Amino acid sequence: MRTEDLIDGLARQAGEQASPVENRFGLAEAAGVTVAVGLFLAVLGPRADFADAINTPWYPIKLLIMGGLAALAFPVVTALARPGASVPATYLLLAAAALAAAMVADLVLVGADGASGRMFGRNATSCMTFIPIFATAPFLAAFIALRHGAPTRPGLTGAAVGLFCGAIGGFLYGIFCPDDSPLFVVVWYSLAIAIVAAAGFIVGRLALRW
Amino acid sequence: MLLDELSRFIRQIARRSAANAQLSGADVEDIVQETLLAIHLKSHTWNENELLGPWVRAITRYKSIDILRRRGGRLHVPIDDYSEELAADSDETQLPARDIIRMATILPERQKSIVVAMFVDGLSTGEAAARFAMTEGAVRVNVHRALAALAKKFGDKG
Repeated sequence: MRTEDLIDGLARQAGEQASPVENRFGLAEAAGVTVAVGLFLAVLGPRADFADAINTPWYPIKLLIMGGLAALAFPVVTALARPGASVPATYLLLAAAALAAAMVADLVLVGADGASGRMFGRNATSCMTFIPIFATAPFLAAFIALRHGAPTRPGLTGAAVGLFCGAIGGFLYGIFCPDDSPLFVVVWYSLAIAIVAAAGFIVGRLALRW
Repeated sequence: MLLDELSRFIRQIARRSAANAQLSGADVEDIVQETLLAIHLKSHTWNENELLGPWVRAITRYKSIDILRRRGGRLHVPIDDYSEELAADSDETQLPARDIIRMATILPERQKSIVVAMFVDGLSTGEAAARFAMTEGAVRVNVHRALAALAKKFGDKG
């Protein structure tokens, strides 16, 4: 085909604009997160001592860090879906810094005694299981929405999706999880989120080519 | 028309990738066509508030690599091709001056002179405001309108 003919063809059928990728991704995630919340309420629900826990320092800190990570990862995903857009990835360091600060605070305030007990917690296996499970619906929704984007780095975009969805899963599971120590969060939540991010990397490379 | 301008800009980038990988002129045209098609299909991923150049360039790069890979996996895109792109997140990488001037001819006089002053002569918003005796806000509004007009032209037939 001659390039001139292609240009003529394109010029003739130009016109309607698809909605911006942020809107599509936002809508898809509204649906995905709703499903995840429903699943969480059906399977686990908030922990029994929720009313007491919310007044301790560590329980809300854990939830804030997970929620913050999700909020910071969202614009990273939408920027990666636009060719040539600058990606606000450095803000993710805020979440890492908050977690590191919480870890230091735990070691200083609660003490080094019993630190390994707090790190291994009561139920690391259920953490590693449920975070990916609650991440699944937002994860699928994200990839459906991002097929309309144009990520020039599909693997990285998928990994960012995994980070976002892992944080959503971490937030939901965190509402139930009896382990609040930042030492536990930094090891097990991070590991679970990293698994979701790795899955996102692979799915991204396969599904986000255009 | 604008798509012609655009295809010339794309061809320049594609030629460089193709020369590095020893591809033929037909491959260059393949890259140009695939990129034009992608620009058409993915036009909603361009943010009107951002420069058109980096967006087109990123898509061209992506499609170039795609085609190079399909031509037998000889992927020799030298790093110095990317040094530009790595630095491109901030403000550089506009269309070549000649093309900007030509594209700007569709704009009203005032917008045209502001676009040329800022994107060809490289004036900052503040300097442009001083030159045209207007506020920085007014300069920004003009640039935004100019880009919107170019976007409309570019989505429409030129």
